[in-house]
Amino acid sequence: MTRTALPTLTLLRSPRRALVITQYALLLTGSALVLVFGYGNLTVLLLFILSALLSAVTHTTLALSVQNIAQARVETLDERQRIARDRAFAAALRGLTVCLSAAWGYALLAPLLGWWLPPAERAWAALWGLAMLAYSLPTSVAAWTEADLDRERSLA
Amino acid sequence: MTTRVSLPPVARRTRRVLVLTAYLGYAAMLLAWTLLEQPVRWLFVLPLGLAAILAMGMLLMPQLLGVSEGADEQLDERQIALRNRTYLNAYRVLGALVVLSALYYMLAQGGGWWLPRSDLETQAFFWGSWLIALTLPTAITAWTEPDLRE
Repeated sequence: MTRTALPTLTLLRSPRRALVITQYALLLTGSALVLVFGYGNLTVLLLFILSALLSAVTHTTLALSVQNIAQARVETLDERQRIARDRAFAAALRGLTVCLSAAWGYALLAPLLGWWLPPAERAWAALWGLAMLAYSLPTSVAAWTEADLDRERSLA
Repeated sequence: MTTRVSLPPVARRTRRVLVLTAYLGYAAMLLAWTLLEQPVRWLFVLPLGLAAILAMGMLLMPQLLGVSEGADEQLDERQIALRNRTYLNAYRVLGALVVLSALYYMLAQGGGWWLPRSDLETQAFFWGSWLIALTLPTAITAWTEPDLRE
């Protein structure tokens, strides 16, 4: 079977890591704005949409920088990429489980301990944040952990 | 130094029964709690809850089942590859559940569909989703990994 070449974008590990941090800072900011201020305010709504769009652009850049291994069909990946993809998903699963446990734990404890909770009509923003986290995490883990192949080849 | 896990012979059929007991037992316990009246309720809720908790406890300790789980140092290459592939499948299931739950919540708020509101419903949702997140990889491995003699 002919392997389809994936679009690529060469980025060193440090800019990739900076993009991962930027992506989640944008995601967190957008969700937090709606959770705290609600979406009745037009400025908040526009900032939320802007942060979502920028986060999507950042995620796409990251996906291209790691040959989109998290979403690519298995036959388009070589052996090294398959191992990297499986490792990224394994680490992402642990990360997502920790995030879900923390979110659920907070939601269960908050009413008992008098901590802040958003009104029910704004809770979708937290779930939206979790959903985007679940979607993006394997790619982010791969972008964070993948070595600088070109640099390693030149050193070797 | 690497040490390999010695695999006790837990047959695949037994592992599958365990997985079904964990998830169906939890669902059946919630149904019994919702549909039955006191004092019959406890006759069903207690054994079902106990069975589900024990089964989930087993799934949280994969070494008891002899399946390919654990730290890299405890597994050989085949087991590491199998474990990572299982985690990939588990992530896809869990990730899809998270995305679909968020989508459902957004639509349900606008459309007046069912959402967990009472204490029982909220607790059942939180504990259920939490336990699924924790046990899913082991459940998939326990369900799919063949018996050693195969």
